[in-house]
Amino acid sequence: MSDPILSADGLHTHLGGKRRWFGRSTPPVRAVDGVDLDLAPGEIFGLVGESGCGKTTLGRTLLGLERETAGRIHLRGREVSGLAPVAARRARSAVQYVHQDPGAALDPWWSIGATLREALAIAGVGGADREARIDEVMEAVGLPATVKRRYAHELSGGQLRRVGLARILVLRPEVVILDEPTSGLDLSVQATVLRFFQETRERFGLTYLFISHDLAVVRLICQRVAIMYLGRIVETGTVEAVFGTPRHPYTRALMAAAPHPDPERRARVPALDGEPPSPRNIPVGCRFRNRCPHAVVRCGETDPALEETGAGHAVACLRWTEIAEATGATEERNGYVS
Amino acid sequence: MADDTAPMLEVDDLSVRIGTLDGQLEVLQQVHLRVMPGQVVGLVGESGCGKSTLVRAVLRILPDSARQTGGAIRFRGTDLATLDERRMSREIRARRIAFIPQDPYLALNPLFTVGQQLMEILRWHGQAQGGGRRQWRARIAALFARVRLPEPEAMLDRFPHQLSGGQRQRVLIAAALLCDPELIVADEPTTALDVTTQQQILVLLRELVEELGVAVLFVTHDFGVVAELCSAVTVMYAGQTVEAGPMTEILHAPQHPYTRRLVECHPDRMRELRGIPGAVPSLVNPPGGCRFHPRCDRRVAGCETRPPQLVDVGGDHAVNCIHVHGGAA
Ligand SMILES: Nc1ncnc2c1ncn2[C@@H]1O[C@H](COP(=O)(O)OP(=O)(O)O)[C@@H](O)[C@H]1O
Ligand SMILES: Nc1ncnc2c1ncn2[C@@H]1O[C@H](COP(=O)(O)OP(=O)(O)O)[C@@H](O)[C@H]1O
Ligand code: SF4
Ligand SMILES: [Mg+2]
Ligand SMILES: [Mg+2]
Repeated sequence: MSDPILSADGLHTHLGGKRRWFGRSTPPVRAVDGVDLDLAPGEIFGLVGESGCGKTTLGRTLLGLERETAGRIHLRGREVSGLAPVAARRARSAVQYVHQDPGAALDPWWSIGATLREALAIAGVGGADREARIDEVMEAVGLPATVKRRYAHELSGGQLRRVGLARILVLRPEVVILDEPTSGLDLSVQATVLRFFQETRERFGLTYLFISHDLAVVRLICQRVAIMYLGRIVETGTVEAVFGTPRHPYTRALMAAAPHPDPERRARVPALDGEPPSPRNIPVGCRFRNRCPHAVVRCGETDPALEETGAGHAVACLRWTEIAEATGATEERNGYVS
Repeated sequence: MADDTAPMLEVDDLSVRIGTLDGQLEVLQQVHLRVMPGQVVGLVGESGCGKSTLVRAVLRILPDSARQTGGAIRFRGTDLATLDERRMSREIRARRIAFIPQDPYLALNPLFTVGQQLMEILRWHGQAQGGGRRQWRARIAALFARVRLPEPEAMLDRFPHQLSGGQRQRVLIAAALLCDPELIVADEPTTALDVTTQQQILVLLRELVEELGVAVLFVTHDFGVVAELCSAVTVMYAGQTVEAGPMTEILHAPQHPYTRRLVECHPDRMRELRGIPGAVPSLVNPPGGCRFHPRCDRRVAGCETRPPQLVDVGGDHAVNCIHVHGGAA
């Protein structure tokens, strides 16, 4: 892999929590709990996991909106962590974020044009240059110039996604964090929006961190993917490797839980029981063990680290080799191997 | 014993109008739908096509601004329009037709425990007489256990905000089962859940359907969910039924151009990143002829002028497209 454009090493972000002199202390939420991540220039990197696993907090920490509790972040090889909030955000202005619900993130009383102008004014771009840049971006995201006079509530879901991206494209970012960019959209619109993201990435030479809970979408448009569970990346690799030979029991469960438009693939039993434990109280040892069908005593004793399983593929499970051997045949039967 | 060869629910050429600031919206027009006893029917279509309006019409909970302007909704042969609100609420709603809404948080009152809220349903339907507090608690706890809520006894005394999204949805399923309904109407009940929780709920619903023989009308926009649960599908576009048929036929051999494109938009089925061009039309001034014609890739001359009719193509399959009944027209 070429030198990463953005990377995180041993990143922790712990939120809230109270230490009291008297009474009970509340432990912090370990929303990001030891994440290593490298984004290669120009790729679309998928980040997948159930809600509450820390995807948004990881994104906000990379952006500098949330301060890391521990760990380091590098942007184009330069360390940008360990800074106070304002300095952190300034150092990472090449990293921008597209909100999950662009409608909610837009001021209802401001026209789309005024919103874009404001974004540039904050970044210190003024005058004629400002309007030219806005028009260029509007054209690139496929919005007619008349949309500048419109308000958020007058636009469709698909148009709002375009505005959401236009709003940060005027700032000429290099890395864009897309947080659940197609959630709430109809499938008939989703495909068009995904294609639009792909084309915009090519045109502006962007790198995407694509946060999603939809494995099928990630498989369609990402080159690499990381599966996150309770604040930690438990499996990562190329899309071919992770979808072709998923190694972590959680990754397998997520794949088996996704509904397919094919009655032959109906699940008889749920792939996973229960719900993830609270990130205030992460299980000792492997954090997945209380839902894992393969857990043994040693899973409660050692916290597995990411371990290379093959080229560009790593998994954090103590038993991955045993499980791979035991289920090798099953894998093919289930159609995991493509 | 009721007749099992007659439809449980039959929506026949229904139209509904809603008065809005923009004028009269013909929100539903030529809507047909049939649910047989014990059948799980998926109701599919893009947002705004009228799925929730149809559900509200069936439950007779349309807003005051809305009016049924044509057609009939028959439940076990009875035209629901002939029942007054008192009989609807005493005898039908929650009792014979139960409802599971999309947002369990809005459906539950934050001020009462979930046990109190289920008790209230029993009391309203006169099913709480005979037997003390302990007995009804036991009955609800048994249902909670049946829908696999953890610690069912303790769960009775929890408030909605103390439960996870998946747990709240299970509480609403238990509430729906409370009076032993014949039909459950569910409006996108798993859309807001994670895939893992969604699968748990779908498997649970399937077990309950097999065990209790209850029929289900299940609104969803996901053909993956349809394949997991349903045996038949009705597809709506811009307020109309465009196709209805057995699930496998709809998924593997859809006949309406809209259904075909919609199925291909599922990421599992997608051959290239291509949605359906254009947008869902406004209902204030819907396109003439076939409402889908501006977006249709099989459009021919007659599509712009002649509104097609829903035509039976055999095998419980009906299609509303000029290519299907062109010869007959
Ligand atoms: N400001 C905050 N204070 C305390 N806990 C928080 C805060 N923000 C998020 N959390 C918690 O952190 C965890 C991770 O949340 P989030 O990053 O939003 O997850 P995701 O985006 O994967 O759904 C969740 O348990 C959430 O409730
Ligand atoms: N109370 C209402 N007042 C005005 N318009 C409404 C009302 N309820 C629904 N509509 C309109 O009716 C159409 C169908 O809505 P709905 O039944 O909610 O669709 P779906 O559930 O398929 O998303 C939409 O165009 C919506 O804007
Ligand atoms: S380490 Fe143990 S508990 Fe964790 S995923 Fe592997 S087998 Fe399961
Ligand atoms: Mg999030
Ligand atoms: Mg709806």
